[in-house]
Amino acid sequence: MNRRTLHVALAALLVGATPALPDVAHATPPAQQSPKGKVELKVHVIHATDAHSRVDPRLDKLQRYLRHLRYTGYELLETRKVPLTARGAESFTIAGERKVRVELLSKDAKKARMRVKIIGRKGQKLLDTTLSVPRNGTFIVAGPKYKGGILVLPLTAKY
Amino acid sequence: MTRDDHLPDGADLTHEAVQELLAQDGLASAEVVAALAARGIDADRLRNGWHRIRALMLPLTDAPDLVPMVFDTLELGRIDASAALLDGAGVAPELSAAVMGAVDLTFIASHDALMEGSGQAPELSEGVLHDVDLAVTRSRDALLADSGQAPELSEDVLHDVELAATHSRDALLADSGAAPELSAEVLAQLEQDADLGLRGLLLDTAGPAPDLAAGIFDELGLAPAQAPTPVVPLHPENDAVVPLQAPVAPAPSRRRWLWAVPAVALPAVAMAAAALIMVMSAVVAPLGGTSLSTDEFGFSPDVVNRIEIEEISAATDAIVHVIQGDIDDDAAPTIIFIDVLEDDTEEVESGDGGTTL
Repeated sequence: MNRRTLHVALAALLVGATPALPDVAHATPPAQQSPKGKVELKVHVIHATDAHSRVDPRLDKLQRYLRHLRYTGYELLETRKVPLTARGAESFTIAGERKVRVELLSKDAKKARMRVKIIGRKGQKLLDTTLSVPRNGTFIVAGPKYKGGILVLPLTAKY
Repeated sequence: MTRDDHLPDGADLTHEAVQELLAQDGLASAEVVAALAARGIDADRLRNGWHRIRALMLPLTDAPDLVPMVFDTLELGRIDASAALLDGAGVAPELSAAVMGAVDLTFIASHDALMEGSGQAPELSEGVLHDVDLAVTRSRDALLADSGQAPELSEDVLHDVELAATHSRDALLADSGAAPELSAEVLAQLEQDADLGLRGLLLDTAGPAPDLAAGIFDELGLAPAQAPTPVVPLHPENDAVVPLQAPVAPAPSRRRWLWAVPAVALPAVAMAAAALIMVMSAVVAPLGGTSLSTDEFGFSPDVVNRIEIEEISAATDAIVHVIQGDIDDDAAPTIIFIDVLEDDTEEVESGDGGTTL
């Protein structure tokens, strides 16, 4: 299945599943989605590969930092907006059947403290970290192997 | 005749003394001839040789065709001859390998002489480069130094000077403007992916409503009849209404017309139309589209992106590296790199449908 066909199929699947999907998949306007006290975690799923040298133009501002990973091509697979509250953790599945679990622990005007877990395809805990990210700041989790390359996840805490 | 009468300062029959006598009287003295004979030297032969030397030296030019025999006859050091040859030979003497061999001219000297005055782009054939042991690197640098941004270097030249294709590509692209007319062949040679660079350039400057020919629609996988068709929301009673936010690109975009569908309350009856929109977005987005505006893309270079890690751990088959980025660049995001040791690449075609756990 080529990429274009895959996206068509995914889009069709997305629309078909629309009634069952929560806010994670379908973002509502920020004013409604991010009330006071919430953090919106933007998660981009990027496929870094040496199979080609294309860089998705949407990654333009991030490209210079992706170079540290020393791959030639970067494709943005998907973007998620995950609303985080103090009520509990949010989990979602990304490419390669990896699971991401994020929990907002606290936040103030300058930074948000959160716990991030990455679960591998076989259920193993690839990463478990507690960290503080500056307001509207971005950090990157990279490394899980995917289609001859790796997955790169820039995570941004917007609030 | 005594030795003192004929030899200066009582010197013996040294080389210099004989040369002086030759210059004075051509070894005319019988005593000197006898003295030379006593040492096994034929004065006549010596005299003849001296005359030959004089004859050769008088018209000596800067680049005499000297053969080894001449050097032997003249008892000239080959170094001197080499210097004499180069001094008057100009900056780019056409010295063949045979000549250089005859005068024992070092290749280095010739090389330097050639390069010093040969300008920025000497037309040195591969053979000459090889003869003078000229490093190809220097020739390449000389060629490129003044060749400007888009040197018209043939493939042969690139190969000869071992010019990396990257150099040429960068030079070609650097000043090629927004829409360089690069043929598919050139792009292929430059390893430039037309699917990305050119497409982006072409579309970025195409304006919000490009006149796309049917062929372009085909290339993009779009049906011309589908693309501009507006979706009219339907609200039949008793239909389940599902809020759906269509992506909006705030900045003018070449595909803005694709996204210019307002947020709608989408009844089930209109699912097909919505599906059409979503399919179109899924098709267009990976083709270099900007379904996400800069604001929608989370990363911002205007904020500090360095994080503080309190705790971090990984599976036993993984090693975690934390890369804090450039110390002088606050925008450099921290990278947490998970080096999975166990082969976790037994991948399936991911659905990635956004399954929420």
